[in-house]
Amino acid sequence: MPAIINSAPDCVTHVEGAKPADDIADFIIQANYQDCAGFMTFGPGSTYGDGGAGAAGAYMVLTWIGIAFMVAVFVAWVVFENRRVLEFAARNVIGLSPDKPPPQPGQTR
Amino acid sequence: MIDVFLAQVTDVKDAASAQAQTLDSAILGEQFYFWTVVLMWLIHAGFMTYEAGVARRKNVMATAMKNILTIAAVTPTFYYFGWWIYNCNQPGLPIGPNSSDFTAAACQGGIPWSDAFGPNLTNNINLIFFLAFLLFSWTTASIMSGALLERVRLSAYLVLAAILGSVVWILDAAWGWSAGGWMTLRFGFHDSIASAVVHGVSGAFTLGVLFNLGPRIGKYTKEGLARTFRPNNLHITLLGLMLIFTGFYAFYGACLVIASTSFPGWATIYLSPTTLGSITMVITFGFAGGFTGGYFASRGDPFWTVSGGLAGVIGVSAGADVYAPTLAYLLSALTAVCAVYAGNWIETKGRVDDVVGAVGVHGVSGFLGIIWVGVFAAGYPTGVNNVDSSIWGQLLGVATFVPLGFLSGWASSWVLKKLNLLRVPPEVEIAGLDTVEYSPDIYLPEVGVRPAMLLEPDGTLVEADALILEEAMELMRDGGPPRERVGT
Repeated sequence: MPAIINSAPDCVTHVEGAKPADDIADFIIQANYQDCAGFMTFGPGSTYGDGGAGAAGAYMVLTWIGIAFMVAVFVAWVVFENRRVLEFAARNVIGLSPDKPPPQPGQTR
Repeated sequence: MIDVFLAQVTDVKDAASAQAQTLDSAILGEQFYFWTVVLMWLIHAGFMTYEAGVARRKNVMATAMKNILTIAAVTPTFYYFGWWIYNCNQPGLPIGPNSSDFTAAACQGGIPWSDAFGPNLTNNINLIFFLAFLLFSWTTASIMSGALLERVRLSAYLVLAAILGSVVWILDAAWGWSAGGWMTLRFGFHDSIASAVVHGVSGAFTLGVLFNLGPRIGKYTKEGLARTFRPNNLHITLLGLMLIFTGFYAFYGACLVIASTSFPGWATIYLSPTTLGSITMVITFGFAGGFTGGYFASRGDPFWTVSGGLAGVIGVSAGADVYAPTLAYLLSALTAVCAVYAGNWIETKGRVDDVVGAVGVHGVSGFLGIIWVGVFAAGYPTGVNNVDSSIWGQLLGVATFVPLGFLSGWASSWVLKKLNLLRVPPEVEIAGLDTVEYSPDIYLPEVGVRPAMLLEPDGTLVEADALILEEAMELMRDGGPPRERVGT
């Protein structure tokens, strides 16, 4: 049994040592998956014939967590860079020391 | 036919005979798209190399990082809504997975929480087909990347890349580059390998962004004449383009649909017949003609010669499924000549600082590509409705995609500009993005730094930094904070 989270959908069975299932369709290789076509983590599981009917419940939540994370990353990119370039601009205002060249890659400030 | 993408079976036993016939086909398709995805990474290695060679030394690392992070920005956005846009908007207006439209089956697989969007034993194609499209999306965003070099903020670029790569291009692909797209079903619009759908729209979007971004400090003299910043490593730029070209073969292959259980086994994205050999001939002759046109139009300039190859291929992509090799050769040469002149015009007369000539190479060539189909390949039944390709259908494509690309690029960059988030402050631009964004010590001190050079309009070669610093200070003295003046 899983140590922490059992994220497999209910259509996946857990029979240790199960023999390979009927292979009439030539693509079912494991008895524990014979009733489960779509079996992604936290998915509802879909049986043959569901036609990818979509998911609900936990996987939907997972999707929205992913979307929220993605949005947060974009905001973080903007905020992080904005802070950094403005700090630099404030420290290196053009015109205060016109005879001093701006720092360049390969040279220490 | 669209069920090719979403092969489903009803139950295990009934599926046996059907699957026996289609399983090999599905696995063949899965493997084919997998390898195109692998090889299309070369496009992005190429873009990174190409742009890093063009940038001045002080911006090389920032340029490379921008290309790498394109993948970080576009991948999740394309997954969460780009694929839905493609699959659920082909009739023009959004549909749901239970719609009566025949594209509803595809729509079902395009929803991010769909069961077909994860490990699914009855669907070998959906995920790998998604990934091929994802690589197209990276490419579309990367086309814009080079044009904005050396003054755009990384974060602004990533936001724009997500909008272009996960919304704009994929919406036009839904309309004009899919089996159920309304432009093809009703008007016979024909752009088989995405001349305008990818390149044209990306060029138009980029032009809209450049209008708001403005030129690099020092790019133009007070009289409005264009200066030329010397690339820090032109050889590496050429290598980058050659990598892109290699990846382009995979790109072309990925634009086809494998239907190995039906004659002739290959189809365009519109499900019209073609062969892999046909399009490979066209791309190869496209490079040959493009290099030739670029060389002569630019009088042997290496950058424009190799960019001419790219322009040439883009110019013949729309009709790659039907063109005779000679026609591809001639049209690609002509397209490359047009791209060189357009690129130079945009830089010198239009005063738009497009660092890599993306608007000319991708935008102009992309739209010329679909026009060439209307002129030289009219009368080919296209798509599942078999509407003949025609100049009117192609002009409809121009009339739809130019505003879609340009206005979305202009509007999104305008918002960023108003928020003061589009462009780095002049202090940062002068110091170099590498210095500020990363570290002044990213290069080994013992290697030394050669001064960046620029070519004045009269052909004089001068050190760039001193001149640019002087011009930036002048901008400040003339009034107004430089952050508002530069880039307007």
